[in-house]
Amino acid sequence: MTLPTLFLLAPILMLAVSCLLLLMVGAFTNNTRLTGTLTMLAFLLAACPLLTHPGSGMLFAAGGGHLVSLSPFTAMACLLTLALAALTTPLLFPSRITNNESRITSKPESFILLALSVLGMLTLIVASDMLTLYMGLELMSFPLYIMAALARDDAKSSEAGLKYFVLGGFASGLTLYGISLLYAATGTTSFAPLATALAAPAPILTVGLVLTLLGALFKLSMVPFHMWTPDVYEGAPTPITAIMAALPKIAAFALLIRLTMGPFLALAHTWQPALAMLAAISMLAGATMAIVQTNLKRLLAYSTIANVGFIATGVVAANPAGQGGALFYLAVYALTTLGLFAALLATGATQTAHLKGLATRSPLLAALMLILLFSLAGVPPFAGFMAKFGVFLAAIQGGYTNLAIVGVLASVIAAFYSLWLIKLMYFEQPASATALEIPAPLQIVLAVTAALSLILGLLPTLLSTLTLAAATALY
Amino acid sequence: MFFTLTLTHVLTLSAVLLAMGLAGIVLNRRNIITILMCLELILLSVNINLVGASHFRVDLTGQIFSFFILTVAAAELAIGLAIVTLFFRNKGTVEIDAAGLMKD
Repeated sequence: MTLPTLFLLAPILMLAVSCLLLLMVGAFTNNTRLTGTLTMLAFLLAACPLLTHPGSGMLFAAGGGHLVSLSPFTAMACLLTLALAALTTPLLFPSRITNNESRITSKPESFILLALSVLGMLTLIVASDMLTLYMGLELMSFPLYIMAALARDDAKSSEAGLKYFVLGGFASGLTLYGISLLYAATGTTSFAPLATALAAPAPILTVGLVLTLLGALFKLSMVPFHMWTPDVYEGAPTPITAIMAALPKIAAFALLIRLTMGPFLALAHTWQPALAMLAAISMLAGATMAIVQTNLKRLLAYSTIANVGFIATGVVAANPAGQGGALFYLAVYALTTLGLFAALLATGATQTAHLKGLATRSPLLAALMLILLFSLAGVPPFAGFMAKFGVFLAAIQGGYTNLAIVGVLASVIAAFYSLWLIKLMYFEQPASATALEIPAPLQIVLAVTAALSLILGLLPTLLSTLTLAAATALY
Repeated sequence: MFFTLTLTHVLTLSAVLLAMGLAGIVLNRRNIITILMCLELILLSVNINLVGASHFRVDLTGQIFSFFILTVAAAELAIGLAIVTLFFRNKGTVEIDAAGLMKD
């Protein structure tokens, strides 16, 4: 291996070095604002090589394949992860006007844990061997377990951390067992040789496939592996919930697409119908359960489950339009979710009733939330509509018309709770008429996410041409 | 020698260990520490699979993989015990039934 090939890994190596430096800065200065600013810079800096020299190739030959492979697809997924990670950092910033929850998470260690988790996500995205996949998956998850339990005096937070840890450990254990079965049956853990070895069907391979995919489905919180989502979302501090809801989904979906297009391509007849079924159940169950929630974070948790079903529709389609559409949807979903959690932080609302009459207390915040909720509901001309349109169209092209029909039905149900929240904000009387002041860091997040939700709705080709090109490179 | 060890025996042993681990997590209704032990049991069953397959296939990947799992499992348990300690401080117990603050 020569030095120039190592440059392909520049984003990951830069972020790894940044993590160590951030640890030093955080430990010696104990300055939250400085650590936070540097973390944001580290994310943006790591994204630079991806913008200028995206490059593709394989690195670290091992076991008949390679440990790491880079392609335009991985570059796109890494870029989305880093850009959105940079956008989540302001949620952890301290501000003059702040509530209890922000004070808990405004510590240097939050930023370091976030950076480590993002490092795991990048590793997961570029993995081309089960070993790299496992290391990436765990490096992504461990900081998230810790972050969920970050509010140390709060019983709900430690309960959320415990549930996330136990179920996450359980899921990654089963994934590992699946990997070990695949290894026992084929003698390799590398994606490329696995793809050839899996062409001959055997029961042990099917069991291995199902168990291996289980880890990704758990991280995605797809039904029936979604039970942890509402509890963990509710218990974890709100800024952390925003991170958990947005970032790992991109990495896990990128992994799912890499696995289904790589080693498991020959077994498409096994996973495609199963994934289609899970996607349909996820969107219907998520959308229906979201309606009956009174806790805003639980509502958003079920909304996540529904959205994951919509995104999986694009993966099931197994065509460039579907996978490109899934990437586009992921970007839109992550933006919307981040914006909505930032709005929850700004209002300090935990129950849906707390949003009553928000328009009179803060017209600007209500207007921004309106854009985000319309995007979540899939109302044209906002980004959410174009995202849903893209994956449903791809599903029809891929021969899954029924799934697209279920998807349209589910999005009608899903539109209900978004519109209901809008009704609460605009047509109800507030309990107190005190004006709300939005902390400066949250203003940035809200403005950027709302603006992008509108821009990507009006000019979807800005991003969709890039995601489509990235997905086409998989073939 | 009237008994030869084959890959099937190794896979069976690890499947039994996995079943014990899963049963311990799913059926266990008392103690969170037991759940942590069962998580370790699952990882050990994976290691047996990997090392066994590595031996019978004359390929080192499995053994290397198992070293990574051992290391990561140690880190995982450190995080797990820290979270259980937090849980105990907040609730005064490590019973599973105590983890029921959030419900639909």
